[in-house]
Formats: sequence, structure tokens, C-alpha cells
Amino acid sequence: MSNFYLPGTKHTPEVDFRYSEHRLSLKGECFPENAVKFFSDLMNRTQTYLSGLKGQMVEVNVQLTYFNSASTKLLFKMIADFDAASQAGNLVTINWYYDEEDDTLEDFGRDIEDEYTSLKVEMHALTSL
Amino acid sequence: MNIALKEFASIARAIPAPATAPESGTDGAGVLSFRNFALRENVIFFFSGYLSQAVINTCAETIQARLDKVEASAKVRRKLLAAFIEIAQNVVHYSSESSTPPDQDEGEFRFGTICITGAGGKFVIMGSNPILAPTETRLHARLEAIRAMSEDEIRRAYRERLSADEAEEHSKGGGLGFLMLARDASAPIEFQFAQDPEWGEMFRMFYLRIAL
Repeated sequence: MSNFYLPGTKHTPEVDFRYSEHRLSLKGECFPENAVKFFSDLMNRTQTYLSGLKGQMVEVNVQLTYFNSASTKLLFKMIADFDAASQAGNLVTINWYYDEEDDTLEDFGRDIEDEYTSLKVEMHALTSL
Repeated sequence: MNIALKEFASIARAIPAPATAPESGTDGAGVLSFRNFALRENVIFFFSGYLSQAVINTCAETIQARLDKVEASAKVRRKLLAAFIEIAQNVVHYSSESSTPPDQDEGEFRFGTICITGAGGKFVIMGSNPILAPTETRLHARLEAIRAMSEDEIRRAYRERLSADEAEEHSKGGGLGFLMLARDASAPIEFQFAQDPEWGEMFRMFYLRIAL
């Protein structure tokens, strides 16, 4: 499975999915005009990657500064796929980065922890600039 | 200090009407009074016209730059920017006045008005756009329900919608958008629907006001 990279824009995050290294990263702003289209592409690729995985350690790094309501819903849905992969015998760690002053982002990380109990969620507070 | 929803409605209504350009050097009651009004009401941002994703991106940058100059915590600034993007994207997705074909789901341009006022770390964001008249009932019920919720109830409703499998009908954000706005607001969200002679009976102007 080939790696997938999208450079970040003003309204979409940098996507750096290194399937070969089992390290998937999202970084930046996330309010695409058509969130369904943006996320379904990422989710299709990731589902294909996860479907063939067994006993693998996977690292998912999420460092988003903002995401809109449509992205919120879809991001949560995408993380369900990682949870399923964990249940299927892999060890998936979500590294959730958030600005220490941003309680919205922190809460979302906690929501992931609550909902997806098979995942290992690491919370990382970043110092405000 | 802050413009009331009714006042905003009348300003937003007045904007789309063709303005008579003042003759050179004679402002009359036009540009200067608008400028005085903007200064008096602490208007940080005002936009009325066709919105697209590209316009939203640029406006978000403008607002960010402006906010860097006013006294406000990073938290409030982020909430304001989030509210702006949410309201502006609602316009692009749901305003009934579109300059692009109705079945186009990217690269859309739709009509709306957005105003941000604020001073001393307190901000108000208001938005308006035309909607099809039959939409009013559903939107009214939805917003009234959110208005009646306590902070905890808003949080619970948000959490439920987040975990819900199916996205809500008529919604691109799975019904989360208004809940997220209400969660960030410092007072219940205010809204209003008005029939507008300029738009006719098929449409209603929808106004939204959020205090942060």
C-alpha cells in the first residue's frame, strides 16, 4: 500500500499517511468546503490499509488547530476504524495534540478516550504561542 | 454597545439595496455615517454578499489579523473564528440565494451577511441569509430546542450526535453545527425569521446572533 501525502492548505490539514511506517499524521486547520468528500478519501485508503493488518503497532498523530462541525463528525467516525483495528488485534495509539488553552480540542480528545476504549489515547498539551 | 438582532436585521436588509454613489467630495449621509456607525458599534468585521470557501478563507485571515490587535484571550479569539467559519459555511451550504447551480456541491457562491462587533474581550457575531419559507418550521424547532438547553444538556446532546451513526437529514455537519455554536456562546443563541418584501413570499430572512 503506497503512502499518501497531501500538503496543508488554509482550510485543509497536511495529511501524511505513511502506511509503510505505520505512522499516520494530520496537522493543521480543517474546514473543507466538502468535508464528506475530503474524509471519505482518507477513510477509504485507511480502511484498505487496516483491513490487512494483524498484530501491528500503529501510531496516529492528530495535531489540528481547528475543525468545523462537519469535520468533527467525520473525524470521530474515522477514529472508529482505528478502534476496530485495535479490537482486531493491533495496537493503535492516538497521539492527540491540543493547545493548552483550547478546551474544545482537549474535550474532543477526551471524547475519543471515552468512546473508543480499545485505543490507547495519549493527550499532549502544547504551550500557547 | 452591541447591536441588537433587530437592528442588525435592518442594517443587513439595507445593504443589498443598490447604494447611490456619493458625488466626489460630497458624502451626504452615506459613507461617513456608515463609518461612524461602525466605529460607534465597535464593528470588527462586516460582509454582505456572495460567500464562497475562498472568500471565507480570506475573511478568516482578516479577522485573525484584526483580533491580534484587540484585547482578547486566545480562547475567545479561537471561539470567534470558529463561530465565523461555522456561520459562513452555513451560508455557503444553505442560503437559498445561490449564484451557482443548485446541484453543485463544491465551489458554491451563496448570499449572506455577517457582522462581528466587540470590545473589551466580549464579542457578538451575527449572520443572516435567505432560506426557503418551508425551512423555517424545522429550523425554528431545532433552535428553540437548543435555546431551552442548559450547558450540560447542550454538551450531552453534542456527545449523542457525535456518536450517532447516521448524519442528520438536511445537515452536512450531522446536526452538530448549532450545538457547537451554542456550546461556545456565553448566552443562549438568538434567532429571528422575517418575511422580506425584497425577497417575496417564497423566502424568509434568517437571522442568528451569538454572544461570546
